[in-house]
Amino acid sequence: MAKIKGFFIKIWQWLKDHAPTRRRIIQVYSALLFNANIKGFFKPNEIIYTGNTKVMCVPGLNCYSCPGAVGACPLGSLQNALLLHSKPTIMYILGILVLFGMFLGRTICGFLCPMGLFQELLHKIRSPKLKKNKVTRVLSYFKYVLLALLIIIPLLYKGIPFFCKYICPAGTFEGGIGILSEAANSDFFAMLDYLFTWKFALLVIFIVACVFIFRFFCRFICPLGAIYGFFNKIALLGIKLDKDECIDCGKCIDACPMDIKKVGDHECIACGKCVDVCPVNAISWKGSKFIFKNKEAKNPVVDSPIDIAKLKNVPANTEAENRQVTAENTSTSQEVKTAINKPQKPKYSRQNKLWLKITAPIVATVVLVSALVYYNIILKPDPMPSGSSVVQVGDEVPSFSLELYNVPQATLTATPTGVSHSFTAKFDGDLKIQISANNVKAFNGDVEVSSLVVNKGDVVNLTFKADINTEFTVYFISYFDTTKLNGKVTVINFWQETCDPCVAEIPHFEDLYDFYNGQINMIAINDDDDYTRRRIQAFIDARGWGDYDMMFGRCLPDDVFNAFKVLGGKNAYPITVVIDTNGKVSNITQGGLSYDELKLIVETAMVS
Amino acid sequence: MDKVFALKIRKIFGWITVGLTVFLGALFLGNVLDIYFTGKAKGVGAVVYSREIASQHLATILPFFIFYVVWVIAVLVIYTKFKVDTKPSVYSEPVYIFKRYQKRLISANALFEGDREPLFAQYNSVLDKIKKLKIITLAVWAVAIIAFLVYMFLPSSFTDKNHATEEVLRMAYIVLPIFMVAFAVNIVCNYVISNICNGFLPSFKDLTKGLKPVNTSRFYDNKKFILILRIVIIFIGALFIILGIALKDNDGKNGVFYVLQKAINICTECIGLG
Ligand code: SF4
Ligand code: SF4
Ligand code: SF4
Repeated sequence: MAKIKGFFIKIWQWLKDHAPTRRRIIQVYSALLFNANIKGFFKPNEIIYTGNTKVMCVPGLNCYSCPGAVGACPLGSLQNALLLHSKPTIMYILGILVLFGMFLGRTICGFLCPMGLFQELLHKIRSPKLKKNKVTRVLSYFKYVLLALLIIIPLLYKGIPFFCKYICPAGTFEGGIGILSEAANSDFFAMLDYLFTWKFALLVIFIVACVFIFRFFCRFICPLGAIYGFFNKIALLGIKLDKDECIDCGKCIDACPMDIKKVGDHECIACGKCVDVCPVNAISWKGSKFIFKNKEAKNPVVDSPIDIAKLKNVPANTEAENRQVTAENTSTSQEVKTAINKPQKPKYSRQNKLWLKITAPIVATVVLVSALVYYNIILKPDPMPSGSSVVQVGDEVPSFSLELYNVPQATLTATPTGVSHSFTAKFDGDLKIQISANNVKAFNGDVEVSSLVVNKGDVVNLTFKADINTEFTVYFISYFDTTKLNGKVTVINFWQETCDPCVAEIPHFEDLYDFYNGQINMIAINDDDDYTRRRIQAFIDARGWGDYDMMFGRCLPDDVFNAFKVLGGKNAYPITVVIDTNGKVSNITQGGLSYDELKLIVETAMVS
Repeated sequence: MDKVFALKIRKIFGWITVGLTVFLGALFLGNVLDIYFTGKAKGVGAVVYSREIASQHLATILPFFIFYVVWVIAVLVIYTKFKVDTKPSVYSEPVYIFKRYQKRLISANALFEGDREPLFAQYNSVLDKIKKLKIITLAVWAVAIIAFLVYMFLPSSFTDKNHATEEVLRMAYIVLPIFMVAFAVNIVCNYVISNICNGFLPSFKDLTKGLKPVNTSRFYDNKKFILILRIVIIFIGALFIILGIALKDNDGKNGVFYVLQKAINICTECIGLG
């Protein structure tokens, strides 16, 4: 009996000794809260959560393509805002980052970031560790280089989310591997190529490095940590050092796992390790005044100046009249020769935080449970199906329709006498004239027109008149639908302007279209839900694609034959659907295509 | 338990874990490269990755992976059994100690006389050397940053808007070596500075004997200033968010719209898929 009791006591003792710290509990809690859509990991009919809470960024690095993520990633959103050159978006994201930084600084890294937790858990694997040194100090500035690249590249060169695409291991791990691990998403494998190989290799290197080097990614790579680091000194929460109390013993810097130069500087993640080792209580938590009662504190290391002297094994008053430090031996000795004869500052007692001890966990639990219930039980399953497309290879192509960008839009000023505008039609068929101002009318000669029947190559001359001078934009719209397939092989590419593989492959489509000299239909379309026509047309014109012979189009959200919904309809890009001469789907490719790959697919569709 | 023995045990198991971790990493790396290059060797249009191929490769790693997990847990237990209490040590980088001595110099507002005079002259010459090395470090970084900026803003850079990856790689080929040189110079300079500091420490100790350390105050020590700064920054942050929501771009969309659009659509390149 006594033996059994002893065994349980031992286990209890072990559990007590190895109980997670409060910081660890908060880290796990935030990781769960930011990824509360747990069903996303198990439901094959839903790739990622697509609800409205994703308008808000979470404070840490948490990929928004993670099946569980319920918020947006601040770094991904920042890059997207920069590469869209959209001022409201840049402002919105900067505002969020500034507030996060100002309130929490890098406390976010220490407490709230799931990537931080992941790295710390890896570092728990018992092995010799690489201590910080001069090299790691210099390397810690590398993240600022990446931050500069992250900002400059999207600004200069629209289209590359540089950090997400080439570096971020959170995206590869949470998003990429998270999605690939779901059996229903098997067709995503087809798009894996050099980029996945590179990012997977990088992920493996990061993971291995994190076992030996504390927070390898945070210290050297993470631009988000670099951003929050700018706020560390002035953030409302974090770690602060009382210079008057500090005796310069260096124990804090030794205990700190980050590459700090001073406690609480831009590298500090507020882990609190230094708080406990400081022999004179010079380090404390910012804001502790409001939480703790102002009282003579019980120092965790020593209780009074006399004890400090005792602890260091040197008599008090060794060298000075007032507070004076004799740290001559600090470079070699563990005994810091310290002498202090000034009473220590009153500290903040922990007795008064009972209310906090009770209410904080209750509120936190209620929030987490509500989030889990809401995202996993109350919320209806997302209608967005998994996989790359609605249709399957071999299916009869369903009826679809889309709107084509036939002629570039024009912004003109109509006058009572009329302003003329001429253009060459790119495709045969109906051309609808859509004018942004109600009082402007279009005339073909003397006849008022709202649409025209044109043939490819026709030069059309229109006059726009208004009672008073009016600036307007005119759009020329053609339609394409299943009836116009004409027994030709049809390549339909679904793309987005912010997707680099999409943008990279479009010239191959044009080259192949030219190669077949109009013997095939070639259409690149994007969803009007995402980006409006004007934006896309401007994008197409800026790339010089306006002169391409292939078709560009878009789908209207309320069109029941919306090609995006009936053929693609997914939230992953790019997708290419090829229809053969018999009107059957002959190939579906997820991911970018080279010219040769595309040619091979089209050749196969031609002979089928 | 004998501390030396416990340390030895921990060291042995720890280093085996190092080997196993690196080996496991190499296995994953080797397999992913194998899949990629084998797939590419099959020619255009061939399947590079598929669930089946990935599963086959994972299956070869799995036994070792399971062994690794068991090993890690075992070592965790061994480390708990062979616990070694280590006392908190003192950060002893020479540069750091040098700086601490420098803090004391501030309190000596008169020039040193007598036997400390030559020491002070020596200190100044050491400082001079350190300064020069720091200037070299700054200069190489400045060159690297200028080279980067020049490359970025040259009209001939980033011209091929349809091949982003190639453009980024081209930039990396040109700019990265310059950064690597700057990094190497920085490390070498740091080592030299550290040695210089270390060599002077005993003399520095004599020079600063009896002096009190003085902490120079910085802008963030001024509480009033910090309070105002915090209020201003919070105000700016809130204002930015409000403007981001209220302002619309040419397409009539606000900042929230684009954040949501990006977050609910998977951009496969962002997550490293393609
Ligand atoms: S540095 Fe980056 S990854 Fe690390 S904890 Fe901070 S935000 Fe997360
Ligand atoms: S040990 Fe102290 S200084 Fe270092 S990161 Fe943790 S809280 Fe910051
Ligand atoms: S441990 Fe405390 S006394 Fe020692 S240097 Fe750090 S803050 Fe100062």
